[in-house]
Amino acid sequence: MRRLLFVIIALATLLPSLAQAYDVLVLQSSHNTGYEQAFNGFRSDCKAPQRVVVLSDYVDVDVVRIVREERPRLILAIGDTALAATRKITQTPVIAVVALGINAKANLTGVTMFAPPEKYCNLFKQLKVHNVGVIHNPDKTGWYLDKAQKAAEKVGIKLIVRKVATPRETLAQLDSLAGKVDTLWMLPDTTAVTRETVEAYFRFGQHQAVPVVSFASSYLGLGAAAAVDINSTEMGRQAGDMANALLRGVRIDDIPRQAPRGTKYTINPNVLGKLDINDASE
Amino acid sequence: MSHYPLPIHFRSSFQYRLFRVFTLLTSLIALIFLTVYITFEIRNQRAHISAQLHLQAQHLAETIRLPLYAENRPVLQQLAEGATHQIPELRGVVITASNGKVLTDVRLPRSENNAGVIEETVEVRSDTLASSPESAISGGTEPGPTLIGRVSLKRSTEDLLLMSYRLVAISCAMAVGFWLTVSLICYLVLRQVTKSFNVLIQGIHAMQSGDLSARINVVSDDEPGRAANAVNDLADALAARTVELENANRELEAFNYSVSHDLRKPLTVIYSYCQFIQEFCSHNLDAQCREYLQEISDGSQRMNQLIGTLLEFASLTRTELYRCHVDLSEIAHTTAKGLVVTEPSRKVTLRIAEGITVKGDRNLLQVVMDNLLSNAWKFTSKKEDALIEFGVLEDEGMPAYYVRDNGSGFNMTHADKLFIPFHRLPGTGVDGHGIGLATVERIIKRHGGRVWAEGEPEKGATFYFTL
Repeated sequence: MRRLLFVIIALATLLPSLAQAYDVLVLQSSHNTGYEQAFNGFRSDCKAPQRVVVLSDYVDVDVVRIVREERPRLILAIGDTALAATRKITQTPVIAVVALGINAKANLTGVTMFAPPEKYCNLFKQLKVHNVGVIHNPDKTGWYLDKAQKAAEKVGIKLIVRKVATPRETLAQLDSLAGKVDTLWMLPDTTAVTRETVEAYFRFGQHQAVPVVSFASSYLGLGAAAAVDINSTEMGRQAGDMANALLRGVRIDDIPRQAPRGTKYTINPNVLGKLDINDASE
Repeated sequence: MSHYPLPIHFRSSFQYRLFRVFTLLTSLIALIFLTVYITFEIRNQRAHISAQLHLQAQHLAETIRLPLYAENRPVLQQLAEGATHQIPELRGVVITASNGKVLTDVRLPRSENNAGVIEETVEVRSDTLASSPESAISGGTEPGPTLIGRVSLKRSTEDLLLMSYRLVAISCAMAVGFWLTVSLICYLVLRQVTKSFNVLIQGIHAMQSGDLSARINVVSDDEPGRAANAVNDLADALAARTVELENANRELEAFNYSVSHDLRKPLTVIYSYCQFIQEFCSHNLDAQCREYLQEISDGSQRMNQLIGTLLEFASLTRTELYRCHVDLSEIAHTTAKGLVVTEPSRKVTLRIAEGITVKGDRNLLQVVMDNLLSNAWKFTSKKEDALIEFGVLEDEGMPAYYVRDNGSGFNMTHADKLFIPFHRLPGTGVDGHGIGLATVERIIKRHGGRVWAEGEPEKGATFYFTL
C-alpha cells in the first residue's frame, strides 16, 4: 500500500514537469510574410524553448487543451486569428503581435499595429495639410484617436472625425467629408476599413484631390499617397523582449501594450506628383 | 425519221438547256450561300450585342459597387436611369443585393414591334485588388472578391431586327446581281461554245430542206466541227449521187419521150392505112376481114391514146413550175361542167366549196382536178343518185383539199397501189390506162404536198391532197 501511494505521488509530481517541455507556445495564424517576419524577430530575441503551431495548417486547433496539457509559461499570438484562438485562455499570459484586436484584457499584452500618432502628425506636417479627415469605430480605435487628437493639437492639425458602427456607414461618412478636409487618414480600424470600403477611400482621394495616408505600404499601389509602414521583424523583437521579461518573472500587469518601434514612411511619388505635393519622405 | 426539218425552238435548244442548268445551279448556290451568310451574320451580330451588353453590365457593376454595398437606393436609381439614357436600347435595369433583395428596378416600355429582349446578369464583387487591414499588415492574400450583389440589364433587339432586315435586303440584292452576272457570263460562254453546234444544225436543216449545195461552215475542230466535216462529205456524195440520178432520169425520160414519139409515126401509118383500106378497098373484103381491120384500127387508136398519155406523163417532170394564186373552186366548176356535157342524161349532185384558192401551177393543178373529178364521175356512173364533192378541211394544221364521191369505192388494202402508174385495181369496170392517179401524185409531190385516199367498196372514195 505504501508503495502504491509512493508511485501516485511521484507521478503527480513528475508528469507536469515532463509535459512542460517548452516555455513559449507560438500560435501563428498562417504563413503570411508579415507573420513569418514577426516570428523570426521574436526568435532572435527570445531563446526560450518554444513550440510553434501554425493554425492555418490545421482544420481546428484546440488551443485551450494544448495549454491545459502542456502548460506553456506564455503564449505568443501572431495575427488576429491566433489572438482570437486565445480568447478563452485567462491564466496564461498572452503576447500578441501583428494583430489589430489587442484590447484591454488581464492576461493580454503585445505590440499594437498603431504607429505613434506623432509619426502621422509629422507626416501631415510634411505634407503641409491642416484638416485631416478620419473615420473610425470608437469601440475599436477610440483609445487611439484620443491620443491622436492630443498629438494633432500639439502641431496645429485639426482632425475631422467621423464615427461609424458598421462598414456600410463608411461610404456616407466619406461623402460627408467632401470639401472639408485636405487629407484623409486611414486607420487600421476593421470597421471603417474593409475589403468593400477600402476602394471608397482612394476614390474619395482621387475625386477630392487629397492625399490618403494609410497604415500599410500595400495600399500605395491602390492609390494611397503615403503610409507609415510597420516593421514586422522589429515588432517580433519587441514581443521577444516582452517575453523575456515575463519569463524573468515580471508580472504581465507591469508590461503594458506598446506601440511598434520600427516604423518608416513610404510614399507613392506618382500620386503625390499628381496632387502637386513635393516628396514628403525627405 | 422526219422528212421535214424540225423547227428550232429556243426552249429545246442545247444552249438553252445548258443555260438553264447553269442558272439553276448558280441560283441554288447563291441561295445556299445567302442563307448561310445571313444566318451567320445575324448570329454574329447577336453574339456581338450580347458581348456588348455584358460589357455594359460589367461597367455598370464597377460603377455601382460602392453604392450597392452601402445599399444607397437613390444613387443606385440615379445610376440605373443614367444607364438607360446612355444606352437607348436598354429596356430594364435591375440591381439586387447579395441576398437577392431588389434595390433598384428600372423598367422602360417595350417597343411596339415584336423585337425580343436580351438579358445579361453580372455579379458585383469587391475590388480584387482591395485588401482588408489584416491582409494589408500581414502581407497575405485575400481568398477572392466577395459578392456584393447583382446587376441585370435587359436590352431590346429592335436595332438587331432592323439590321437583319437591311442585311437580308442588301444580301438579296447582291445575290441577284451575282446571279445575273454569272448568268450573263454563262450565256455568253455557252453561245460561244454552242456556236459550232448551231452552225451544224443550220447546215443540216439547209440540206434537209433540199439545198444540197449548202455546206456547213466549219468554225472549230471540236466534235461538232468534225461532225460538220462528215456531213459536208456526206452532202458532197449525196449531191454527186443526185446529179447522177437526175442525169439517168433525164436520159430515161428522153428515151421515153423519144420512143413514144417515134412509135407514133408507124402507128399513124398503120392507122392511116387501115382508114384507107376501109374507105377504098372495103368492097373487096369480106365481113370477117373488115372486122379484123376494124380491130386493127381500134387497137392503133388506143395505142395512140396511150402514147399520148405517156408523153403527157413524161412532160410533167420536164415542165417548169409557175406558181401563182389558183382558184381551185373555179377549176372544179369548169371541169364539172365539161363532165356534165359529156353525159347530160346522168343525174349527179355536185357540191363544190367556194373560194378555195391555193398557190401553185395553174396548168398542173388543172390536171389534178381533171383527173380526180373524172375518176369520181366515172366511178359513180352506176349510181342513181351520184354525189361528187370538192372541199377543204384541216389535217395536222395544214389545209387538206379533197374530192369525195359515193361511187364504187375501193378496198383499203389496195390503197397503197392506187398511185402506181398503169396499175388498175381489179373489178373497177371502167375504162382507163391507170395513169391518172400516178399523174396526180407526181404533180402534188412537185408542189411539195402529199396525196392519199380513203375508201370503202360500194360506198365511195375520198382523195385528199395538200400543197
